[in-house]
Formats: sequence, structure tokens, C-alpha cells
Amino acid sequence: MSKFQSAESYSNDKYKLLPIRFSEAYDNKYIVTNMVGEYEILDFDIINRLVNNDVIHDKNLLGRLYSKHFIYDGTDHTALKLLGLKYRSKISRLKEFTSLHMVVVSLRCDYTCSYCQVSRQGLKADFDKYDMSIKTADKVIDLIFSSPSKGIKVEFQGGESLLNFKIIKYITEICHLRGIQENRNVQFVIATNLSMLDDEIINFIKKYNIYVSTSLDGPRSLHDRNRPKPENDGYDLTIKGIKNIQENVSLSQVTALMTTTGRSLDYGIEIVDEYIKNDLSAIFLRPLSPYGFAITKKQINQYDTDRWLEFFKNTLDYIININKNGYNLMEQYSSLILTKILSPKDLGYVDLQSPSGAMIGGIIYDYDGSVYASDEARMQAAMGNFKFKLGHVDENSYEEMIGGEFILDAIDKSMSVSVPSCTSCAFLPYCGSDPVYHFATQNNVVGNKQISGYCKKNMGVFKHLINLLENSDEETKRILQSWVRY
Amino acid sequence: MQKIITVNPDVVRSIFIDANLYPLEIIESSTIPLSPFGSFKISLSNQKFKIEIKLATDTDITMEDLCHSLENNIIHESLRLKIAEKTELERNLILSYTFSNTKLMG
Repeated sequence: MSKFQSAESYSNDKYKLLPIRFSEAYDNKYIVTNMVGEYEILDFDIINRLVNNDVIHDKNLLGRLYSKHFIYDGTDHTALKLLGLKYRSKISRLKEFTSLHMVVVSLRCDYTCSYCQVSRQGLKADFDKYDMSIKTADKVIDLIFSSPSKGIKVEFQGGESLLNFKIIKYITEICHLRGIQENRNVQFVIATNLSMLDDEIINFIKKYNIYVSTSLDGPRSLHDRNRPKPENDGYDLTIKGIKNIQENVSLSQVTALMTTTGRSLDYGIEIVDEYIKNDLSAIFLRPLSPYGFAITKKQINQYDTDRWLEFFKNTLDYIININKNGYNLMEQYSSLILTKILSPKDLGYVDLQSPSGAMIGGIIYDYDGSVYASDEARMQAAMGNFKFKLGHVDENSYEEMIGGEFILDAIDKSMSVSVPSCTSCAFLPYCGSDPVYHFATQNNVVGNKQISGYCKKNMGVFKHLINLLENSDEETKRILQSWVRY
Repeated sequence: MQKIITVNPDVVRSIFIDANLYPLEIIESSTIPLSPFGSFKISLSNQKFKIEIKLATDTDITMEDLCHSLENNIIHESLRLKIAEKTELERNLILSYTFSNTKLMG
């Protein structure tokens, strides 16, 4: 008996269909995906033939459909087992539960950014009132270690986090020790504008291998306009801080993020050039925040989504050309999505998770001990909506917080596979759901996806990346493939 | 708050679909993606679905575009239902392979 089945057994109409979804991708071409996001671009006629078990004349296509587990021979379960294994890899983060713990150590800030959504307080505000206390920090640490996750990331945020370096130091030292005692891998990130960076902090970053995430919105004029600082030295201090970490810790220890304001939309090239000038290896083309005033002007938000998509596509083109010219610069949003499209991995980016990344992916402890399901939920609370508040460190246990009726209901409803429109969308394996966003914009945790800015933005990005993967030159494809993180 | 579309009551078109060919769930799911562009009233008589369509006032698309999209959606949704029915066994088996021997099972 031969080890292999005959070629005829794989041919034509002897196949059986496996679960697939299809959606229009571009130019009357359809994207077909399986349960784990492997994809093929097909004409509608081929999809129709597949579903009706008609003969597929293109032998190469037939081979690809078998190898990508869109069809199988109807008897051997190997394809089903492999799909099960890949699906398990995709959702493996669920058994880890909350691994990202964001700690707001101070609400005070030395900047006066107009896009800040967290009701920051001025530098001279009462630090007893707006900085996290040691008593609260102790309770936060206990809650962090109540999470079952073996890998824990503690991210310090603000206001300006380094204004309360004392508490960052305290929490880091204790979490580091508890991580060793409890055999957990604990990583630390400080989100900071870098204006308070000094030698003591540099040494501390080095000692605990802390990653630093800062904001760089573009060249001086744009950065200082987006992120005004009364002393007018915001850009200078940010660049000085980035250089300080690159030279005294390592190049990869500091990353920068940009927020795309309305005035940023015309400066994609200049923003990218600023990142290259400062030896940064990644840029995150973050969309406009849907919180604050944008919510009350929903139609404008839709318009902004179109403008942001145009900005994203043009800037991505420029980044790809920069890579072709020899400078390795990765666009991080594309990287997160390409990893979902081209690998069985999911990097766990909170905004692109189903069930929702809020609470499951990350949890945030505010300076005053309030606990929220996500950073956006904290922003919502600052605007008077406390629906996504999980509890308070002084009043609630870990179990009470993660078992809250409203949040469990929201997470239950955030399963995209059971959401109208999402359930049949071929992009579902790459997408997620964002109950906080949809509650903010539509007063409904599920949201009508036909009018959702979240859906419009992500569909636009997915289609653009798929189009590039399919229809661009080989070098562009190679660059995009190199952004997949395994 | 969710934006409520306004429709022009004078611009109405009805299309008829054979109820022996397509179930109600297909008709309903075909209209959902088009809800920002108009309103759809579905009724059944003499084994035919009557879909009464009113066009939204603030849309760039025409009534012809809307009807064309609806008819295409019905074909797409019908195919999706076939996929769901034909692959139900495989889907359940894949999920059982996914969750067996993992802590994800209760």
C-alpha cells in the first residue's frame, strides 16, 4: 500500500468544503478566509463552484485550497486537527487572562495637550490628591498578582508618570521580587514624555530592563503644537531623552508613538522623517481618538476616518519606500495585522481582540485606586461614564472586579462570531470588537457595524494590506512579510 | 447617540422574492448591511416576499444602486447559509479538536 493517496483523489469534485467566510476585497475580487485567517483571493464564480462542489479546473488553485484547509477529502481528519491546533494557537491568550496591567501613578502632567482625554492635572496640583500613594500601590500589586497569567507586563502611565517616580520604583522593585518568588515573567514599561528623565532614572531603567514608550508627534513645529508645554521645550526634552536612553541603555529600549491629530494629516512624510532622524526603528500610525469632543460630532468622526485612512495609506507607501532604500522602519499597526494574516499567532493587541481585549487583555489601575477595564474606559470615566469601572482597590476583591455583571455581559456580547455582519465577514479572524468604543459612540456595547468608525477604519486597513500583499512588487511583499512577528 | 436616518416617503420601490427559493433569514441578513442607505419593510403573501424599500435622504446612492446591492446580498447570504449548513459537522469537529486537552474546557 502506498504511503500517499493517488493524485486523482485530490482532484476536482471529490473534495468537501471546510468552514470559510467570504467578503468583497477590491475590484470585484473576493477574499475567502478559513477559521484561522488563512486567505485566498477568488472570483465570485469560483466561490460559487466551491460551495456547490463543482469541478475546479485550475489545478494550482485546487492544491492551494487543500493546503490552506479550505477543502479536504471528506474522510481524513488531519486537516480538521491542524485547523484545531492553529485555532488553539490563535486564542491561547485567553487562558492567560489579564497580562497587561496599566498603573496610572500620577494624574499630574507638565504638558497641556489639547487631545489629552484623561483630565490631567497641572504640575502644581496637589500631589497628595493626584499621585498614587504607597497604600494604594500595595493593593494594586496584590491585584496584579491575583491574575493567573504567567507573563505579566506592568505599564506605568500618567498624567506624566515620572512625576511620581518614587511609586514606579516601589512597584517595580516589589513586582520584580514577587515575579521571581512566584515564577512569573514580569516586564515593565514606562510611558513618559521624558522631560523628567535623569541619571537615577536611566540607571533604574537599565537595572530592571524597563522599556520606555514616549510620544513623538513629528517635527518640532508639529510636536510642540500638538503637545504644548508652557516652557516651550517639549520637543527638545523628548529628543534629548530618546538620545539619552539610546546611548546609555540601548537603541531598542525606547520606542515612540504618535497621535494623529487633524493637523498631522498633511505631514505624514515629515513625521516619518523625524523618526528616521532619531534612529527609531518603528512607528505606530495611530488613528484619531474617538473620545472627547469627537463623540458628539459623529458625522465628523466618520469623515475623519476617511481622512485618516488616506493618511495611513500614503504614509505607509512612504515607509515602504524608506525600507526599499535601506532603512528598516516598521509600521506597527500593519505589523500587528500582518501577523494575524500571515501567521497562526496573535500578538494580543487589545483593540483587535474577540472576545474584547478590555479586561481580558489589559486592566488599568487609576491613581486613586479606581480600576477600569481599559485605558479608554478610564477616559470614559473622566467624561462621566462609569459603566466600565470594575471597582476600587479599597472596596473590591479581584473576583468581584472581574465578575462584574456589566463587564461580563459586554465581553459576552463582544464575541464577533455571534455579531450581525461580523459573523459572515471574511476579515473576522483579523478583527476584534471594542465595546468601550461602541458604547461611547452608539450607547451600545455591540454597535451597528454599518455606521461604526471602528469597522470602517479596520476594514480599510485590512483591504489595503491585502491589496498590497497581492498586487504590489516583490520587494514590497518581502518588506510586509518581514513585519510579521513570530 | 446613534444617528437615525431619514427617508423620503415618496421614493419607494418594492421587489419580490420567491419564498420557496430563499428563507426569511436570508432576506433579513441581506438588508442589514444596507441599513444606512434606506429602510426595508418585509412582508409575505402568496409565497412571495415583498420588500418595500425607502431610500435615505442623505445618501449619494440611487434607488437602482440600492436594489442592485440588495439582490446581490441575497445571493451572497444564500451562499453563506449553504456554507454554514454544509460545514456544520466540520466546524464542530474543529472546535472539539481546538478545546480538547486544554484548560479552556470547563
